[in-house]
Amino acid sequence: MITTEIYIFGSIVRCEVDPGSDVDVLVIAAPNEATQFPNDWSVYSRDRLRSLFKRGTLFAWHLYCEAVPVFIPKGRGLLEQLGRPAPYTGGREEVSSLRIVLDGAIKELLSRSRSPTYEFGLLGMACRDIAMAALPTLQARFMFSRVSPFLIETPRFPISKRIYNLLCECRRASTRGLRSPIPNGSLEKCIRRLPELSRWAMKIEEMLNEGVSKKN
Amino acid sequence: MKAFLKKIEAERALLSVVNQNDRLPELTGASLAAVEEWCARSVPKNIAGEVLKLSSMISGLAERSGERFDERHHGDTTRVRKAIHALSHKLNCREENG
Repeated sequence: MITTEIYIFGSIVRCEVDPGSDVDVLVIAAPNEATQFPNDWSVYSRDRLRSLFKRGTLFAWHLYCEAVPVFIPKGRGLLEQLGRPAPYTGGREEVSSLRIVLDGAIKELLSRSRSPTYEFGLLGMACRDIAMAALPTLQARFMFSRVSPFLIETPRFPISKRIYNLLCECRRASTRGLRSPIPNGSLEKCIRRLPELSRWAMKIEEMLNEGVSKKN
Repeated sequence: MKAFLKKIEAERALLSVVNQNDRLPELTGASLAAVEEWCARSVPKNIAGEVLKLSSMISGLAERSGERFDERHHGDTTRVRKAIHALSHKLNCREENG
């Protein structure tokens, strides 16, 4: 009997598709079927998803907010059965870890790394994920869009959309094998803004810490 | 998250070994897709094979889902470090031998 469920989520569901977008696919499969799917699909067992929803992880909320069923063999799909995940409380910890990624990439770029595409890509990813992890606490909403750093009202994201888009293209080059998108000198402006980016992330972490101590 | 940070460390180490070699095109990432694109750009077969093997080992260190942190692999970082060291040695020997 087929038990596999298939969902899509991400930019395609948010109507944010551009030529560089991919399709995020979630498969809920029995453990013995897990290797039958393409590498870039997210394949989960039912138990594992239950556990993520119980812990209220950001990924569980991402699925709750966006996942659209494409194939459900019978009756109600697992995500519908699971309903709302537990409250998301991991923002502070996640931002703190992402700051390690961000500051690491900044350090590499300031010392003129020989892998600039990779480091700029990490920078873009860290900024995006810091915003996604912070928005539920700072502005009481979940937002999984690529442009989430620009949705944070305070502190304002210190780089332009044009530069940020280039960072996202660098990430795509690192993960999906596209040619490096860095034309000569196009990210020099970003290099000058690196200390501001680091302060932006630090300020967000401070605000999350303050939020938590106020609650306590 | 710890596993993801270790994965970044390993990716960075691999990229630094490859990209310090001026004769090779820039490797933009350690993912299979990035390495395959790089291999297609006139990279010597033996080097390409080593880097592909490393890409697969590194992908086993951590996993993200839909680009969210959700790690479940805890691969062997020591094995990856040794393999990167061996690649570095091979690339340096090539360099010395012209």
